[in-house]
Amino acid sequence: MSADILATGEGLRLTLPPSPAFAVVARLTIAGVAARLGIDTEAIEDFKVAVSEAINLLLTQPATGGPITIDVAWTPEALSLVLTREGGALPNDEEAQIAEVVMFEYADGGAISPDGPEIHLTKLRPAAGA
Amino acid sequence: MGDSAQPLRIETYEIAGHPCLKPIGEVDIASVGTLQEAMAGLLEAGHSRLVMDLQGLTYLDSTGLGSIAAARRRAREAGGDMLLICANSRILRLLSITGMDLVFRIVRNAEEAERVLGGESPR
Repeated sequence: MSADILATGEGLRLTLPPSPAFAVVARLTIAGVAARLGIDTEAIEDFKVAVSEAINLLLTQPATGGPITIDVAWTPEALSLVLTREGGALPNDEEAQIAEVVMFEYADGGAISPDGPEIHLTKLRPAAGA
Repeated sequence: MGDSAQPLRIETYEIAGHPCLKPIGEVDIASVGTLQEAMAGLLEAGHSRLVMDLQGLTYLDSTGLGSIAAARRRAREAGGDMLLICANSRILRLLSITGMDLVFRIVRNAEEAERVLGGESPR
């Protein structure tokens, strides 16, 4: 990533097999992007938790589904993710509710859409979050 | 919490005669089964008063928390309980967000656990 790209905005797409073994790949990849965007260590650790919980929700959906796709985009203000997995609905049990609470606590913004299903997460970059 | 993935391993030791599990590394959706098996092993062996030492964790998510809470429920159904050892601010925050800090008795180190458990008989 060049300095210009980091400053103005760009994106990438990560596609992962629908397996718990790849949750760590998602966490570490997003952490790497966040670090390049100047987000501080504590905030990155928070966002890793949010990403993990999103992956947990997508992997425990009742229906089998396809790969998990994470669209990563950044602007001068924020790092944004859209996590999707085709093939079913999100879980709605007690564990899923806890995962949602944790996910939203550790992100600066987020939303869940049952269509897809799709999970949106945002972490503010330092200039916007300071 | 760490910057890289660490495979989960679990050490076991005793505090005041009670078994204590110490998971070391990351507990997430991929590794939580290892922790579940270790907790189930102790419960099935008849131990109902357990200690969970969280000091070796570099990462914990809701799947791990849920499993620990489920093991505590089983321990209580068997007449026991589970004590947590935790001084990690990130994990304490997770416990607080999920309300688990109100459910579990949490001490900061093994010495404090020893004092809490010292008067209780094992199992």
